[in-house]
Amino acid sequence: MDTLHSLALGILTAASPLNLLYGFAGVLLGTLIGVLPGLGPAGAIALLLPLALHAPPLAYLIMLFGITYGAQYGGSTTSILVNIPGEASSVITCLDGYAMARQGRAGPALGIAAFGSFIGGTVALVGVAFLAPALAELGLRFGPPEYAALLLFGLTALVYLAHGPMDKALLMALFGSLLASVGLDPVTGQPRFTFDILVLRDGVGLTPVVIGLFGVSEVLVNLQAHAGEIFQKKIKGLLPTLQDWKDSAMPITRGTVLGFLVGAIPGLNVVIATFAAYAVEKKISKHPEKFGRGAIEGVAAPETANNAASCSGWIPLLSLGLPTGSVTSLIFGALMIHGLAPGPLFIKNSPDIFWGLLGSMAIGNAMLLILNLPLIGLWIRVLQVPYYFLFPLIILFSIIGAYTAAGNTGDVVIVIIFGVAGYLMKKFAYEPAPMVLGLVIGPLLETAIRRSLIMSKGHVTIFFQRPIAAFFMGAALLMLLSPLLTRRRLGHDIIEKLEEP
Amino acid sequence: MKREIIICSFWLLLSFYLSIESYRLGLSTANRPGPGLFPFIAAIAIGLIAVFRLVSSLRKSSPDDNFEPGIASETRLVLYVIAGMTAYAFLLDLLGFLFCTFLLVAFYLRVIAARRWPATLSFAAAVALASHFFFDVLLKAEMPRGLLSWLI
Amino acid sequence: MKLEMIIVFLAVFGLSPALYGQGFPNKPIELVVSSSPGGGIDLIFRLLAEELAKTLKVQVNVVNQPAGAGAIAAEKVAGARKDGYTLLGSLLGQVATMSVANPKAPANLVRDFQPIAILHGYAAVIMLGRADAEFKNLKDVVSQAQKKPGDLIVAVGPVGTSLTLEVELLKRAAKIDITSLPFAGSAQAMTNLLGGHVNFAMASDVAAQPHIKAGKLIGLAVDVESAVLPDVPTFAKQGYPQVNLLASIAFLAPKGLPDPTVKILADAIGKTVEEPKLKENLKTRGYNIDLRTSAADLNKLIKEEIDKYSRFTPEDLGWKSQ
Repeated sequence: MDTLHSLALGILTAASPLNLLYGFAGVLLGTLIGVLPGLGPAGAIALLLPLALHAPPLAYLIMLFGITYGAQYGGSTTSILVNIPGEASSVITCLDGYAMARQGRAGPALGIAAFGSFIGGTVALVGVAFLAPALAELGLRFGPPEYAALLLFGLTALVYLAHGPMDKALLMALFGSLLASVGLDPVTGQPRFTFDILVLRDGVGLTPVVIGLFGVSEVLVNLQAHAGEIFQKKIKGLLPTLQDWKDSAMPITRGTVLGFLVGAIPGLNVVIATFAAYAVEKKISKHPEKFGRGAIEGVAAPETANNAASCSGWIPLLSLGLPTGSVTSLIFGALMIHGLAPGPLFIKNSPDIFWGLLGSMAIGNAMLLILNLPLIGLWIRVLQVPYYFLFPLIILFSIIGAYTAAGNTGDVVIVIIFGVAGYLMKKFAYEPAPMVLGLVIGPLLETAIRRSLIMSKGHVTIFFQRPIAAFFMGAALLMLLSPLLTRRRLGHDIIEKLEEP
Repeated sequence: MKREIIICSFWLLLSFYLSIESYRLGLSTANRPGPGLFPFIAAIAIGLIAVFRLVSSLRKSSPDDNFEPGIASETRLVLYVIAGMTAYAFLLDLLGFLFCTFLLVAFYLRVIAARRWPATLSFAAAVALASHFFFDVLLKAEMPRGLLSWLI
Repeated sequence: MKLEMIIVFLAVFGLSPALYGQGFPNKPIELVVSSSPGGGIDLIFRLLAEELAKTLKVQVNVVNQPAGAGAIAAEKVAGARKDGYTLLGSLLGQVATMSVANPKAPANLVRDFQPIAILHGYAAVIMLGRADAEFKNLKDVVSQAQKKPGDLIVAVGPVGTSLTLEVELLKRAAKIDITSLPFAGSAQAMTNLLGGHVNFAMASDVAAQPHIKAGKLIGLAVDVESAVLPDVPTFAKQGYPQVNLLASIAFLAPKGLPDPTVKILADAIGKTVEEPKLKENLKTRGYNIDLRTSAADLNKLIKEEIDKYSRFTPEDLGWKSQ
């Protein structure tokens, strides 16, 4: 009851006119930069830092938080409309969201993304209010061996959940992980595959790769058809239908839980939550063949998961004072400016700030929903612009997105390379999504394993001696061996997976 | 089938090259995995899958060997788009954001979409000015000013 | 679009090159900062730039160029016009490192740059232990490490940063063997210390402060006296003066900048850091304000910085070529 009371007080605090104004400015700016590929919340927050000296602390923080979760809302827009992920966490939304747009169902796709985001964000918020301290303590128990075991378990689960032939997907994932190893080795600092090119020392950025693979390659494929129809001109509804809602209800529920859990573990990427949510839906769906061809569940689940994850992602910062990424570090800096060093005592010492922020997020999520629904009508008109006017704009936004991410033309070159690669992959029927997963998970898994082995002086037993690690390793092994036990899968399923369809 | 052989050879070559490179990075140091171990494993795995695919495609002669008609004209369009982007990347610092954007959009509309000059020029100018206003003025995204730096 | 046209007109007739002849500065200054927006040293430079703009009465635009561990930013400024309108804001150690370790680096601290101002020891690095462990100071650490060589684990930062290199210096100075476990930065290192996965962690003092106040962690040593944790003794005070990679940030200009311009900029920066509100703000963020602008001081600091990093191999500094 105490928690509910505090949360209610927080909402009241956040509802003061000044806080509302700052909150609205935040979510509006967040939506905007979320829509623009490349330009992420970090850049926008950095721009607003000078304001920190002049604005009241809570209002300022409410605005910064608004930017971050507003960006998650906006991120799905370009994914659905033009196949460019506005944020990396919207990569998976491209698969079914863009397919829906081509079928004239951009409206329902955008609608379910907005509703899913709202539900995921709001429910996760309540979760944060009740569980933050407990989850934070749990998160601390994840050292390198636990991460390694968890990631191995996650990868096994993805393979287990996958349908159809695996070999091409595996090939792409491996290639993605190799791509991720470009740059300085995080453990020894030795350059890998950099060919003594300075910009490659920092590795190949996720943003330019996904912009090229998804956005640019799509334009290249469509060029020939530009006289004809890329998008079905007849728009089928602005909002999700009753059937859409029925299809999405459970995916949204599962996406919320999954996203919340993944987000609460510091160091796991939000992207992982979206892939996991998608894989689960595809596995338990009665019509998995529809996935990738415009299944609304494929939009609802990952879009819900990314908002839930970005909400529970605040737990390490707010309850322990440990920023886990570039955005949380920035917010940490903003809190510092006001002398509000977040730490283990943050909730106890500054309850007004903590609960005010949670309250503002509840209000902000509602504002975003109200803000985004009318925009849908506007967005789908974009698709009615003749393609010969649209494609130069898509290319231009891809270039600007890549450039603004780091202010470097090297990233534009990466967009070009992966635009061509994505084009060839489409021609040869290779999926780009597993490559993105490899790019994200590969380096996490590698560093976790190598750090573990440094800790254990090279003994592999470290993965089985610590309880959490041992649990996940056991679960992964069980999943690998389960086909043997049930005798069902190994017989045809696994072999089928490795064969061409 | 021929297509599959070409793709698999590509993967095999890549696997071969990357496994040598990662071997040279060092597979282990003092009993622990070195910087090259994980890339090495990934590269070898890519090679194995490529061999697997090659063998299975050789065993069954696949019927899906259709070369799409009109691929030449599509390749030409793709090359134009890529050329435009590449030129943009290399001229951005020199000519500046505003000017480059104008040139890129005009090039695409005229050459790829075959629009008339008035439509081309007015649309390109509108896009260039609007994006300059949006990114430079509103968002202060610090796009290069280039030649026009004395002006904007 | 109309507004755009008006702006263009105003720009053409209001700021035409004819007016440029008047004294420095009379147009916006570009400050190239070698870290991503909001990351690392970007914040302090943004705060300084905002105030500096007021002092100089021209815009000071921060341009972020984090690529290549600061090498790209350094290259850009080293090759810029020597008119004072393009400055580099960087960690001095970052530029020194590439000058020492990479003969092929596109820019060299001594050869290519004219220092304007250096904020010496602007932030402290702290070595942390757990409050419930038996280590209360450096002496305990060293004696334990001598008993069990290689068994103690310290969470450090990325290769080549002072979080990592200072541990190397401590190992050399005390002749001990501790296992360094590299992480992405202070926060990750502290997370692993709090979770009990490592014995010590290297972190920035500001990030560590709340955990020390909460009684979870203790400070074992700092490299330079900390503005926020004045009670923690330095490495030097505990007998290891060799552990001294104090992080300094520098305003650098291309070599060959005219002396009057250097003086205008240095004076302006000097005036800026004395502004009471900014000073207070920098202090609460844990920044030490020890500004050096005299030519003798600057040259001495740069020489020291080069010497400090010359003690390491290119591998240690993260500049091994492939």
